[in-house]
Amino acid sequence: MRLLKTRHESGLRVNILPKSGFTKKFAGIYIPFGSVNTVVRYNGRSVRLPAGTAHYMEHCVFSKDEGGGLLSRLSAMGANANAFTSFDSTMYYFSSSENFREILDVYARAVMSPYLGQDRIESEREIIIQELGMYKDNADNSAFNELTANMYSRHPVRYDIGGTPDSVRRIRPVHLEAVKCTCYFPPSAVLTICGDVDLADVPDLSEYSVQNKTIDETAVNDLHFGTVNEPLSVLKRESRMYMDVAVGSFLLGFKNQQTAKLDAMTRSEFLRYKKRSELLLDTLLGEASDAFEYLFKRGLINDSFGVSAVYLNGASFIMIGGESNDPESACYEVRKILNEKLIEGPDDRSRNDFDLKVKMSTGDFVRSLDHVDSLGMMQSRMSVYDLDVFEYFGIYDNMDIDEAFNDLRSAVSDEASSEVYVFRKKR
Amino acid sequence: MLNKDISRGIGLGVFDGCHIGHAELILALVSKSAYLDLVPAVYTFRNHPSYVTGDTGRISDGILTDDAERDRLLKEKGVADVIYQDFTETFSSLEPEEFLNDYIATGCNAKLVVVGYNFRFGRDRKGDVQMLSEWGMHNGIEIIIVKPVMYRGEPVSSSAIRKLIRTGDLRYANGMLGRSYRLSGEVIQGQRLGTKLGFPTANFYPADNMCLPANGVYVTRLFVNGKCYDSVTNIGNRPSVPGRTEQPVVETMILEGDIDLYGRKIDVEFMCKLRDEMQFESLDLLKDSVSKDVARATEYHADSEDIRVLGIRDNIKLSGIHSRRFATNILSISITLPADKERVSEYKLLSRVLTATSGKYPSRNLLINKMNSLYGAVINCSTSKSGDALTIEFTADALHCWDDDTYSFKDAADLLFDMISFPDLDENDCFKEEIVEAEKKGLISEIRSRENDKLKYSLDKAMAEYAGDSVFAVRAFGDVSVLEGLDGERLKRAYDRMLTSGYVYAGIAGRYDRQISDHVLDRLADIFRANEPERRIVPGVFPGYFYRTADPADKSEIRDVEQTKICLVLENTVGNVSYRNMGITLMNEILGGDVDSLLFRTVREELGLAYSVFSFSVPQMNALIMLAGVAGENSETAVTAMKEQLSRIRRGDYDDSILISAKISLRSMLVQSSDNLRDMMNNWSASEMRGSYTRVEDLIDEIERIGKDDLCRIAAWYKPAVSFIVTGKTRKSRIKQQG
Repeated sequence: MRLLKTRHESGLRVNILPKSGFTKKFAGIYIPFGSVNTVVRYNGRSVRLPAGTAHYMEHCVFSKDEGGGLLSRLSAMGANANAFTSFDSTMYYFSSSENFREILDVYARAVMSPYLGQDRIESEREIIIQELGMYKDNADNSAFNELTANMYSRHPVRYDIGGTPDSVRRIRPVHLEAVKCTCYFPPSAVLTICGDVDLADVPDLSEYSVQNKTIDETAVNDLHFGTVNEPLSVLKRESRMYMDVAVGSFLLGFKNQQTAKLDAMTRSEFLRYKKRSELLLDTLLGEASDAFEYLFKRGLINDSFGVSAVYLNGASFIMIGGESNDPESACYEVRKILNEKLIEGPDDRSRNDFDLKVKMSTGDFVRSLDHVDSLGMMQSRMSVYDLDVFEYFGIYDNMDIDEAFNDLRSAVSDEASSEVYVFRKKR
Repeated sequence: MLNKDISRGIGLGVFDGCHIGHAELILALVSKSAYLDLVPAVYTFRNHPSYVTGDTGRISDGILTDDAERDRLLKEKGVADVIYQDFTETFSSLEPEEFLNDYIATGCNAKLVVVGYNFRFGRDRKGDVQMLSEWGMHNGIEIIIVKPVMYRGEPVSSSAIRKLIRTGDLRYANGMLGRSYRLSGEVIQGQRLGTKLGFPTANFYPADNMCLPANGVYVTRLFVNGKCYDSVTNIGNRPSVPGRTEQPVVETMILEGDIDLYGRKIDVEFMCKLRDEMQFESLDLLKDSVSKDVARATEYHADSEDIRVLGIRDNIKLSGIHSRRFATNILSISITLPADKERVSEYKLLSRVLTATSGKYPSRNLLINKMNSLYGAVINCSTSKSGDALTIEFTADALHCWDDDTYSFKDAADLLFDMISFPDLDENDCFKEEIVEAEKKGLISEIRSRENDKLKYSLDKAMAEYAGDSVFAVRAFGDVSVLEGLDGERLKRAYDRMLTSGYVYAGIAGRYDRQISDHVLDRLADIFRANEPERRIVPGVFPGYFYRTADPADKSEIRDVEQTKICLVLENTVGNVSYRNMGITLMNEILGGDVDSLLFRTVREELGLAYSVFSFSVPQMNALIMLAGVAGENSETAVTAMKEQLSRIRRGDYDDSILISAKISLRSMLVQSSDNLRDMMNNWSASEMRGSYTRVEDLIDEIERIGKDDLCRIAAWYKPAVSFIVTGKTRKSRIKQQG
C-alpha cells in the first residue's frame, strides 16, 4: 500500500490511498481554515471575522435547500457524510459503498461553491445557536472553553470553535463571502480518497478555480494568525464553575512555554516532538502509571481521567483532568505528582513503560490500516503537515524518553498554568 | 401418555427441515407460551402424511430432516415437548372438529394453537385456518396464524427447499433453511481409489429417504468429533471409476490434511455447487478435474467470510469468521445469564476487577505493559443487557503477528484466558478488597456522572418509568445502592457462577489459523469445563420481551439547563417478535435514524426547533425512542412536531424519495459492516442471541421488498407510552410544572 500524491489541474491537491478488497470508500476534503483564523484578506483588505465564522461556513455548506439540503442529497445517494470544524481547519468527509464518484462530485462542488444567500444564512443561525446551547449544558465543554479563555488573552483559541450566540448573531454575508473566496476553492483544499479508488474518481473542479482567479494571491498565506502577540503567561489562574452536575470535574492546563520554538520546527521535527510528548504524558499519568493508580485508589478520579495536548500556530497547551468527587484535591495531587516526576526525571520503570508505549503506538498505527475510513481520515489530517501516513510511521524510530523529559520540562510551568473546577450546583 | 394437567401451547405441522418459516412459527409459539405461562409443544407426525394421503409428489425428493434432527432443531428453538402422532388411515379420516376437540383440546390440554397460514387438517384436508380460528374463539383457545415467510420474494416451504437442493442450488436453499443443508452418515471402507489418486476421501451412503443434492461436486464443511474442517464433496454414482454404485455415495475430502475417519459418524454441510457430475475417459482426466475442484473449493473457503462453526466441545461452541483482509484478529467470549438488579451490578463491577489486574500480572501497570508489549493488544470486558438477559463479553483484539515473530494475537488470547481463569485473589480465595474498593468508587462515580448529560438522564428516567419495577427496567450500567454493598467475597461467588452457570458462546474473527482456533477451543473447554447453563438462549423466551401494562405517563423535571431535553418512548403494542423485523429498522430510519429522516428534515431543518433530534428502536423492550434538545420556549411545539412525524409514517404522508433514501442508507450500512471486523463480530453475536443468522444480501433483499403500506402498518403498532422532559428554570416552565 502506498500513497499517490498529485495536484489536479484545478489546483486541488489530491492524495490517493488505494486499498482494494473493501467495499467502503472514503473521501475527505480538507480546508485549511478553522476557528482561529479570524482575519482573511479579501479584495485587497483585511476582513476581521466574528468568532464562529468557520463553523458557520460549515453549516452553510450543508444548509437546507429545496431538495432537503446537501446532507439529505448525499444520504440519498448512499453516502454517510459529515463534517467538523476544528481550531485550524474544516474537514468535509464521507464514506460510501456505491455511487462514490457521483457523491464525491456533488460533495466537492458543494464545498467549492456554497450558496450564501441571506435566506440560507438566516435559516442556519438559529440551529447554530441551538447547537451552542447544547454544548453549554455539557460540563466538559464548558470547562474546556473556560480553560482556554483563562490561558489565552489574545490568541483566538480562547473562543469556542462555534463562537457565542452573540458572535454568531454578528456574522454577516460579507464575512462568509470573504471566507468562501479565500479558502473554499481548489488550490486551497486537499482531497484524500481511500479504498478501491483511483485518479479517475477525482472530480474536475477547474471551474471553481477560474472563478476565483481574481483573488489576491497572498490571501491563503495570510490566513494564519501566527503573529498575534500572545504573552507566555496566563490571563487567569483559576476558575470555579457551578453547574447542574452529579459529579464534578477539573481541568489543569499548562500553556506551552516553547510555542515559538514549535512554530519554527520542521514538520517532521514537530510531529516527533508531538508524539514523544504524548507518549511521555501517557507514561507519567496514563492508566498504567503509578500516578493513575494512586489517584484512582483514593477515589479522586474515574476512567474519564485523561491527558491531551493542543498544538496550533501560536498556541500550544497541555490539558489534564476528568471527573472527580473532589476536583480540588485531585487537581492538587496531579500537579504535585507531575512536578515531582519532572524533577526526578526518568527511572528504570518509566524507561521501560515508555518503550512499551512506543510499541503499543506502532501497533495501533498498523491496526488503524485495517479500516478504510480511519486510514483515510488519518491521511486527511496529515494534510495539515503535508505528510503522508507512511512517512508518519517513521517518527517512531529512536523515540527518546530523555528528550521527551527535556521537552516537557521546558514546556510546562506552574506560573503559566490554569485550573478550572466544575462543582455541583446546589439545587 | 401425555400429562393432561399441563396446559400447553401447541404448534401444529410437519416441520420437515425446520426452515425459517417454521422458525417464525416456533418463535410465535414459544414467546406467546412464555407470556401465557404454557408449556410450548409441537404436535407432529412420525411419518410424513404424504405417505398415507398418497400425495407422494410432495416428498418424492426425499425429506430434509430425520426425526432425531427435527427433534433437536425444535428443542433448540425452545419447544419443550415434541408430541408424535402416527399418521394412519384411521387418523387421516378424523373429522376436523374431532381432531381439534379430542386430540388438541382434550388430548394436549391446549390453550394456544399456532399454525402456518396454509395449514389443512382432518378428513380430506377439509379443516383450514378459518375453521380453526372459529373453533378457537368458540372454545376459548387462542389461535395464532403465522403469515407466510418470504425469501427473496417467494414463500418459504419445505417442498421449495427440496426442489432447490435437488437442482443443486444450495446457496438459495440454505437461505430458506436459515442454515447450511446437512447430510450425515457413518464412514465406510471404500476402495481407497481417492487416496491412490492423491485425494483421500471419507465416504458414506446417506439414508435413502433423505433429500440428496443433485449429483456433482460441492464446497462443503465436514464435522467430526466436535470439529469442523473445510472440505470438498462429490455426490453421485461414481461413473468414472470401476464399481459404479446404484445408490449415490457422498465422498468428502478434507482440505486441511488426511484424517482417518473410517467408522466415524460425520456430518457434511453443503455450501454451494462447483460442477455437475461428469464421466471421465481416464483416471488422469479425473485427477486433473479433481485438482481443479480442490483448488476452487480451497479458494472459496479462503475467501468466504461467512460465519462458520469451528468446533464444539462440552457444549461450548466456537464460531469463526475467517478473513484475509485484516491485519487484526478479534476473540470474543460471551457469557449470558438471567439478569436481576443485583447481578447486573455484580458483573459490571466484576468486569472491571477482572481487567484491572490478574493473578499473573497483579498490578494495573504490569497488565497494561503486557498488552503494550503485544503491540497494543486490547483486552476488554463489558456487560450489556438485552431484555431480561445479562451478557458479560470478554474480547481480545490484537495484530495477528509482527515482523519480529511476535504472534500478538495468540499471546493476547492467552493473556485473556489467564485473566479469566487466574484472577488476582487474596489468601481467602476472594477478590482483593483494595482492588474491589477502588473499582467500585470509580464505577459509582461514572454511574453518577450519567446525570451530567441531561439527554442521557432524560432517557434513563423515561426508561425507568416505562419498564416500572420489572427486571427489564434494570439498566446495564449498574445500581449505586447495590454496588455499595459488594465486596470481594460476593464478587468471587458471582465469578464462580459466571464460569459454571452462564450460557457461553465464543467467536474468533480475522486471519486466524487452525492451530489458533484449536488452541482457543482447548482453553475455552478447560475454563468452562464445569459449565451447566442456568438458562439457554431461546429466542423469544430468553432474552424475553417486555410488555408494558401501565397507563401512559408524561413526566418532567426542572433542572439548571440551557436547553430542554425531550425523551419520548413509544410502545409496540402488537409486541411483534418476528425474526424478520427489518421493517421496524426501516421505519426507524425514516423516522429519525438518519439525516434524511423526517425528524431531521422537519424538526431540525424546516422548523429549526432542534440541533440534535433522532430516534432509535429497542426491540427487546418493544420500544421506539425519540430524543431531542430544544430551546425551552419551543418544547411543546417540538413534542407535537416529533409525534406528528410518526403519524405521517402511519398515513404514508411523506415523499417516496425519503423511503428510497432510507433503503439506500440501510443497504449501505449493511454492506459496509462487512468492512469492519468488529461489526462482523457484532453481527455474529446478535445472530447467536437471535438464534439465526441471516446473510447481509438476504437482509438487503428483504429491505428492498418493504413498501410504504408495510411501514404504515408497522408505525401503527406504536403508541405513546412515556414522555420525560427536562426543562430549564424559565418562568413558563416553572408555572407549567406547578400546574
